[in-house]
Amino acid sequence: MSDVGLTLDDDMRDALAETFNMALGEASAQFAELVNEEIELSVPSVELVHRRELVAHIDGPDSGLERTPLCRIAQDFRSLQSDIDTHAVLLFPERGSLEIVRRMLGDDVSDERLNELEQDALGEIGNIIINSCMNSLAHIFDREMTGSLPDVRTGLACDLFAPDDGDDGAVLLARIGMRMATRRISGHVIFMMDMNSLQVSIQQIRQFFGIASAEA
Amino acid sequence: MSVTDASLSFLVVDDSKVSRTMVIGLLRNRLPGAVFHEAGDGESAVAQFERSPAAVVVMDFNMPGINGVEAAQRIQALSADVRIVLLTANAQGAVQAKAEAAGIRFMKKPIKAELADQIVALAQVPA
Repeated sequence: MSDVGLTLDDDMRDALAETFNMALGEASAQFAELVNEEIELSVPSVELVHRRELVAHIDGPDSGLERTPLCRIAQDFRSLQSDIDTHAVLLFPERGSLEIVRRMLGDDVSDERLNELEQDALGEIGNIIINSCMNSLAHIFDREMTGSLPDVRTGLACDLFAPDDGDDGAVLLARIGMRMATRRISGHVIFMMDMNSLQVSIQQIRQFFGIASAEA
Repeated sequence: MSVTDASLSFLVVDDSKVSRTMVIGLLRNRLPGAVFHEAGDGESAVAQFERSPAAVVVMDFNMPGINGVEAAQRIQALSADVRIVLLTANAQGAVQAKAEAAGIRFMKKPIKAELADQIVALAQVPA
């Protein structure tokens, strides 16, 4: 893990992973209903990384997404108190997107209609999965979170996650894989937070799980 | 009221065309004679309702412009009899509380057969 000025102890790392595991557990149930198929979840991972290293982590050799054109559906969320901002991303290989939309709309939809509705359907899939995660996180953070509308883009990780000029902050990279059981299409859900949001979130997660503060 | 009553009308409001298509498809299977109108945001929904009042409105929450509860309240001001369902992926307690306070039935996306049955049952309760 990079030195980003904040260290997570084992209890906190475990609590963060469990937080996102709970969030994705609920989201995977919604996704399974949407595509009428069992969704398998991977073990969640939580890392603190420099913003400039983000692409390497997403596009890395262990990610299963290396040099793969991706479909990215993203929404930004902010707490009413404006103390937590998070950028939530649903990511899967572009080649799998049409198949996911077909599962959602049913096999009797023509290819022409499928292509016409693909972007809209992907936005709605992201809306359901990401909001389902955020419902759980809002409960744990004890905050009402308001979100932007979904933004759908395709491209390589280096294009989709290029840092802004001068932006070298730290981000929390919480990842969990979702796999449709019979179709071998894997997706990833990623939550990115800046340090201020992360510190507030950690405080709220400690309270939720009853973990004593590191300074105590 | 017959389940094929052509006077039964729905207004389905969602910025996602796919979501509107799925909702209308499930409802039309159950009520082949019903009339369906669509809108892609809250403001358009209010304007559509003014032109053609519907018995039941199925409304998303997160949309461009005003949110679904705000749009629902403006529609309620136009008709005391309208039944409104908030169908949204945003199932946070605060959103459910806003819907409940406005007298709006809350349902969690995605739409499925059981929810469509509940919407049909709601439509068939005399106003």
